[in-house]
Parts: sequence; structure tokens; C-alpha cells
Amino acid sequence: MPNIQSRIRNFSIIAHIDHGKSTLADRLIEATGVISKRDMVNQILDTMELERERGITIKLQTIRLIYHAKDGYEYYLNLIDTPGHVDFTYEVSRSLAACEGAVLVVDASQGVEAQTMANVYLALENNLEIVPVLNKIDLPSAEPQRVLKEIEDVIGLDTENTPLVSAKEGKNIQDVLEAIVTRIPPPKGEISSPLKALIFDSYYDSYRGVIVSLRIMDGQVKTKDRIKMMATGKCFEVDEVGLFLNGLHPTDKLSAGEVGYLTASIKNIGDTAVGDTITHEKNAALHPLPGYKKVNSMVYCGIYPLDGARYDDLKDALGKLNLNDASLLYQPETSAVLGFGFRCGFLGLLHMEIIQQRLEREFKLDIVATVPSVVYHVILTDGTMVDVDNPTNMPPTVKIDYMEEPIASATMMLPVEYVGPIMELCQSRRGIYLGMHYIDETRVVLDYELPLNEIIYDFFDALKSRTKGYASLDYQIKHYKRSELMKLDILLNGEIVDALSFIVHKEKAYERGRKIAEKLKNEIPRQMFEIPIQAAIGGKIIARETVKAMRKDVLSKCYGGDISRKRKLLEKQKEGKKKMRQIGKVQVPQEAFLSVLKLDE
Amino acid sequence: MKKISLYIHIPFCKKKCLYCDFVSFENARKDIAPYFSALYKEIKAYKTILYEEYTIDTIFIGGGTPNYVEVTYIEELMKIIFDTFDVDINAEISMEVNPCGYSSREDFIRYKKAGINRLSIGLQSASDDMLKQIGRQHHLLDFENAFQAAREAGFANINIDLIFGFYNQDINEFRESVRYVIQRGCEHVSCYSLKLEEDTPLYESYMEAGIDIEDADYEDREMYRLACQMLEQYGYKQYELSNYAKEGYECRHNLNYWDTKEYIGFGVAAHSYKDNARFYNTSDIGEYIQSIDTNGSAIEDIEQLDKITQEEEFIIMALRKKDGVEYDEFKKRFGEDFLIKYNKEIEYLCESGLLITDRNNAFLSEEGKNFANISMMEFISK
Repeated sequence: MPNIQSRIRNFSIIAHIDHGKSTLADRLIEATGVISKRDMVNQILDTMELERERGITIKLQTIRLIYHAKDGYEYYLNLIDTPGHVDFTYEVSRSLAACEGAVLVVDASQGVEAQTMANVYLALENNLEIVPVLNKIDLPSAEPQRVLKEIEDVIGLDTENTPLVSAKEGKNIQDVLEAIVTRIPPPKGEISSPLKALIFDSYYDSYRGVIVSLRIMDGQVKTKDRIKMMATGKCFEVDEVGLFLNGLHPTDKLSAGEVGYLTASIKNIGDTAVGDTITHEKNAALHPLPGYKKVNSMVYCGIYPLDGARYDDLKDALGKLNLNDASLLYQPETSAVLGFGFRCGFLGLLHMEIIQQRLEREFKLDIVATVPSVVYHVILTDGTMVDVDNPTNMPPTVKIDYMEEPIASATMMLPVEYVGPIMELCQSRRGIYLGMHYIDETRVVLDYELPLNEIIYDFFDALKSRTKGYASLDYQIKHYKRSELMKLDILLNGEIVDALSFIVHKEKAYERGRKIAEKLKNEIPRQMFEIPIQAAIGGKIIARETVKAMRKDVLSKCYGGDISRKRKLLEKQKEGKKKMRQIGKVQVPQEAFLSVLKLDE
Repeated sequence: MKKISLYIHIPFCKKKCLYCDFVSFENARKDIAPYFSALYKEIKAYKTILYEEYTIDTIFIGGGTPNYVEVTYIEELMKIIFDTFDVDINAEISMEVNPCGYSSREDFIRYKKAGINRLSIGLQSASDDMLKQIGRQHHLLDFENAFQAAREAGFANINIDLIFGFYNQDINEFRESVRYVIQRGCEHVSCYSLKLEEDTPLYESYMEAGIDIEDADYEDREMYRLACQMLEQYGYKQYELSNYAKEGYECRHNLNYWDTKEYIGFGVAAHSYKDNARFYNTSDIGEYIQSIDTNGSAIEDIEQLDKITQEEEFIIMALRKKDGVEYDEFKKRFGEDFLIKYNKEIEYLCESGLLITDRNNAFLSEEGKNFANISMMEFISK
């Protein structure tokens, strides 16, 4: 009988959004009987309501499957789920680093997409064996032969014996399990070497503290061991180690090649940074595992309670979210118009949207979010550099020598007929064309260099609407570049609304100022007085709109039969008023703050 | 004996006006007979509920167009009401009248004889152009004839309805309309600012033309001020946001609504308020006729108002009146001190210049009347 390590397979499933990753995971779990079909809510790996709704995985989940293969042996398959979006690239790459192989799911009708490519590159960087799987073969629009050829041509994978499955209908799932066993290599690693374990995820449990998901690369870890986090230097005593079965399943130890969890009464999730290496306090490994990096927030915005009295509730909510999401940064800030709130840092736009939505849904908070900003480098005349993620903190112009902004390299995949409009879009967003190549006769890959601050202004929506939803996008920050940037202020009723200020490229300032003023005019309801809306750079007004004064708000006729109807109208009006934020004398609806982001018509 | 009001809905029109969203049916002559039998049945079924406990203080026959149906229907209706209930000898009994030539002097005499003692005539505008634009079926001359016939028949308490605030309506045209009404010497004037209701042809046409009705609000308020000024000058006191009357001719029936007192509505879509419950009939005429036939009732829903809702409705409705909320009345009804309980809201509204308080009352200021909803909204807790 072969040793236990040879019967372990550690793998992830990678896919473009909507290609059926979660459904396939469900079927694998079901087929191996870890969880009975009856107990299974669809897509058990996506546990958050929001994840289900948006069809994306935000937090990692891991599960150990036991599979009786055709060769007669029992195999332990550790399925490590990965988040599916560009914002979480680093987390994906850490999950992949815990694996020897990856199942690449490709939709048999959609074919290869931008994130398929991005994930494949990540997998290749981690030297993973890639097992392609064609999903959704039950769809009438499925073209397995074309897509297989695409995988060979574009990715360069051998597609012989590729399982053709329908995860939805549970068809050919066995083929996938066999392919995992036969094609993905077992883990290597020396049990006798000093401990090296990779942290690929962690979450907070209010009873046990942080629960760390780890992959043992070398050595062993047991209960009561004294361990050390190599990046942070923090030491802890292990309370419990175990495996991810249906829930957490304690064992006495975890050995090289295994995937499991560990608890050590860790109170602060920041002490268990994803990508860090765990070793023993004594007999420590000399070098950590490669690849650890500190993740920096790319996008910042201010988050304020709509009702100032709920500041403490917001603080608690952010604290709770942060327990399980160390990549969410937050610190108190004050806005002249919005009062007390928090400056929050996110991995990207999606991350930001998800946090905002979770605050509203899970914590029932009405919030106002300010215009998001990227992190700018401001080089002062004395030669020092400051990072600015909040336009309000921009140093006075006279003190600024020059500024730099983050530049992303963006890959877009789209049907060939949309190349014109998308090139125009990228051009209008200050993009620099890098190249284009054909995947097949119908689809192309476009590569552009785009300033991140252009991407965060609804670039993704614009891309989708110009391609009827067919384009996909992936981007990564490459470097900082010197740029002509300036701060644009919005004045409501003569007062600067700091929450609406943002930093913009010189060439775009006029147009964006005008569009925002127009947009706000449509979002702000008439009030008992006239409201000027102005966009200004420095002291100079570059655009102006006016919300005309409301002249009446009265139900002229009201008879007996109307009373309940009119009361409901008033209740609705009151409800609407509650959703407004008072800025000076002006009532501004929550949506107005968001609408300035959606400038693409 | 407790007092209560009755409302009777006559949901038939020759043609609906372009701005109207009331429940009324065009080309439905065939429904008239079955509708009235149902209506009579519904009224009779209330005998046991109201008799011996209630006396009828006011009656209002509205529509629709009550004088669109044969006079006999109204005569029968009044007879049934008098036979079924204890109608106060001094009851105010109003009927709405469309002046488009349906009613002759003889008809008005019959209405009078049937017991009706107050008419409300929908003139809307004294300009034939305007009348045509808003889809009215009558001309000014029709109104003149109807008004005169009503007077000759002995109606000494007549209201005339005006409406203003249409897009591009000329203020001079409106001034002429007000002047015309004053010259008729009627006892009461209702002067309504147009409320553009969705699902009306007027709304559709405004949308199509890209008209923002709020753009007409400036002129609307000019007309409103003009109406107040002219009517007050000729002895019509504004006693509610849209209603003006000569001394002693205030509409008791409508005041009853604004005082949130009890009423029973009969007919399709009619609302009732009794024992702190609001209930209303179905808006579907076929369903109404059938339900009355089989169950003797066509109530679609009942809403039991809790104390706070009663209180809020009392305030909302009271603020429509010139005298606003009377502290004594509030205390009598709800056992609480209005000024103390709503101290915060009152202070805010007074500071905003929308509300005025004196020793006995809290009422809307002139500016407050333009923004009545803003004041009313403050008192809503939901």
C-alpha cells in the first residue's frame, strides 16, 4: 500500500465568472458523498448570500473529499476554492500555491475568457498541472469542438481526454474525479524537515479566535506546538489542528502534503496574513516559503452613516467585517459635510461594492460612500513624497512639484465586431494601446495600459454596455507614472462638498466636472430654494447647473376616500427624506453620491 | 345619537376628463340599472348598523357624474336613504353636477324635491378654449344655463369648481374665470391646483411632450395667490387649502372628513370610516354588483387604525383647515397635549416659517400652504 502522501491530491477549480465553478464543486462534493444530496443547499461553497446572488466566491472555502478511484485505492482530494475576481488575484495565487493542480472549467458555449487566461497564468506561475474540463455541454449553444480547439490554440493545453460535463445535470462528474487522481501529482515534502506551512486563508470565529487554513509543505504540526508566523514574528501555542470535512474535524496532527486548519487563540486576523509561512518557534525553518507579499489597497473611499447617530454601529460593522477580511482597511476620518465616518481601503472596485452592500444588508446600515480614489504619489517641492488616497488631503498646489498615478495593464477579450468601440473607449480613458491578437476568427484579445483612476470610473460597466455584455476584463497594477493631475471640487449651494471632490487628469477635468454637475442636477430633487451646483478647480468655476426651486408641495384635493392613499404618499415621501443626507441646507439623496460614478450614458 | 355622514358614488360619465383618475366609467349605460339596484341593496343593508344609533348629518352624492343618470335613479336613491336612516332635519345634502346640458330646470326641481339642498357644479374654467384643452364636454354657455336653472329651481347653496395649474395656462384666462365665478354670486368656490396623476391621458401627453409639470408650478402659485386674493375680497373666506365660502356656507360634509369624523361610503370604490376602521369597496364595477348581490357587501379591505395613526391622520387633515389643529380638540380626542407631544416638529416647522402657533391653534402659514406636505410629513412617524 502506497504511503498516505501519494494518495493526496490538492487542487483548485479555476474559471471565468459564470462558467460554473461552484456548481461543479457542488457536484464533486455530492459525488464523493461528503455531504448527502439531501443536506446540500446548492453551491455550498458560496456561503454568503451576496456570493450566491452575484455568482462569485468572495471568501475561500476548503473541503476534503474522499474518492474511491478506479484503481481500487481511496484518495483524499483537498478542494481549495478560489475567489473568482480580479480584485482577489493575490488570494487566488495563494490558494493555487497550496495546490499541485487546478481544474480549469471552461464554458462549452462561451469559450476562453479574460479571467480564464488570467487564472491559467497564475496556475502556470505556481507550476500547477492544469486539467481542463468543458462545462455546460447540455446547452444547445455548446460547441465543444470549437472550444477545445480554442483551449489548445490560446492556452496551449493538451485537450485529449478532456472531461465533457454538465455540472448542472450532474453528467460525467466521475470523469473529472478520475482526471484529478490520474493527472494531478501527489504532494511532495519531507515530514522530517522543519515545519513550513503556507497560510492561504483565515477567518475569525468568536469562540476559537482566528481559524487558519494552511497547507503543510514540510514537517508536521500538532496540538500544543509553539508556532511562529514568519512574516510578523508573532508566536502562538496551537490549540487544535484538523481537516475540513463537513465542517471542522480535529485530528492529532497535520503532516507534509496535507491541507487543514489550525487554531491558536489568535485574536487578530492581521497576525495571520495570507501568504505567510508558519514554522515552529524552536527548530524553525531557515527561509519562509516564497511569494509572500503585503497586499496594498488599491481603491479608497469614505464611508459614512446616513444617520450620523449610527457612527458606532458602522464602526462595529466594519470591525466585524474586518475580522474575516484583513484586506479591508478602515480608519476614522471626518468630513466637513458628512461628519464622522471612515476612510476605507479595498483591493478593487468589486471589493468596495461588496463591502458597501454587506454593510447595508447584513448590518442594515444606510451609508453614504464618497467618490472612490486610487492612491496617488504626490512629490513635494522639498523632494519628499506623500501618498494621497483622499482628495481632501491633497497638499496645496504651491507645495506640489509633480504627481504620479497608478497604471494598470488591462487585458480585454471581446467579439471582433466590438473592437472599434472598445478601442475608442480605452482611448477616451487615456489608454495606451499595447497590442491585439485573435483567439479565433470571431474573438480578439486587446491589451491596453490604463490609468487605474479611469478604470474605477465605471469602466467595467462601459465595457459591458458597449459589447452587449460579451467582453471580459482583467487588470493588474504595473507601475506609477507621472501625470498632470488636479483636484476637482463640487460646490452645492456655494459650499464645497468634500465627499464629492476627486482627483482627475487635467484633460478630463472640464468634461467630468460638467457631467457630474448635470448628473447631480437630475439626482437632487427640487427644494424650497434654488440650488446652484458648480464644479471648480482651484477657485475657478468650470461648470454650473441649477436645481430650480420647488414652488409647491401640496395635495390640493383631499376627500374622505383619499385619506389612506394620501397618507401612504406622505409616508413614502417621509421614507425618501430619511434616505437623504443634509448638506448645508440641501437634502441630497444617497444615490447622488453613487451617480457621480456612473457617468457613462 | 351620534352623527355620521354618507357618501354615495355614481361612477358614470359620458366622457372622462383628461386629468381625472377617479373611479368612473364611460360608455357604461348598460351597467347603470344593475348598479343602482346593487347600490340600493347596499344602503338598505346598513339599516341595522346605523339605525337607532346614528343620525345622518350630511350626504354627498358624487361621481363620476350623478346628473348623467336619469333623475329617477337619484329620486329613488334619496327615498331609500330617507326610509332607511334617520336623516337630520337640517342635514346638508349635496350633489355634484356636470353642466354639460344634462339637467333642465325641471330636473333641478325634481332634485330639490328629492331632498337635495346643495349643488356642486364643475365649471373648471370660464374659457371655452381651456375647457376643450382639458377634455371637458361643456361650454361656458352650458354652465350659464345650468346655473340659472338651478337657481330658478330654488337651490340657494351652490358651489362652483375651478381648476388651475395646467401647463401653459394663461394667468389672465384664470383671472377671468375667477371673476366670472364671483359674478355668479355662488355661495362656495372650490379652487383646485391640478395634480397630475399617472395613468391619465393628460399625464401621458405631458410625458410625450417632455413637459416637466414642476416647471408650471411658479405660475400655479401665482394663480393660487390670485384666487385667494380675489375671492377673499368678495367675501369668500378660505377655510381649507382649496375651499372658499361665504359666511356659514362652508361644506359641512367635507369638513367632516377634515375633522376625521365618521362616514359611510356606498357604491363602487367608496371608502368608509367608522369605529376607527377604514374600509372600502372594490373598484371593479362588475365585482361590486356581484358581491352586493351575493353577500350584500363589496368590502375589499379593512384597515384598523391604531391610536398613533388616528392621531397622525387627525393632524394631517386638520392642517388642511384654516384653523389647523385646535389644541383643545386634540386633547379631547387623544388625551395629550399637542404642543408638548410634537414639540420638536412644531419648533422645526415654525422656524422654517411653515407653521404658526397661537394660544389655541397651530395652522399653516401662507407659505406653509404651498408646502403643506412638508409640514404634514413631519408628523408622520413611519
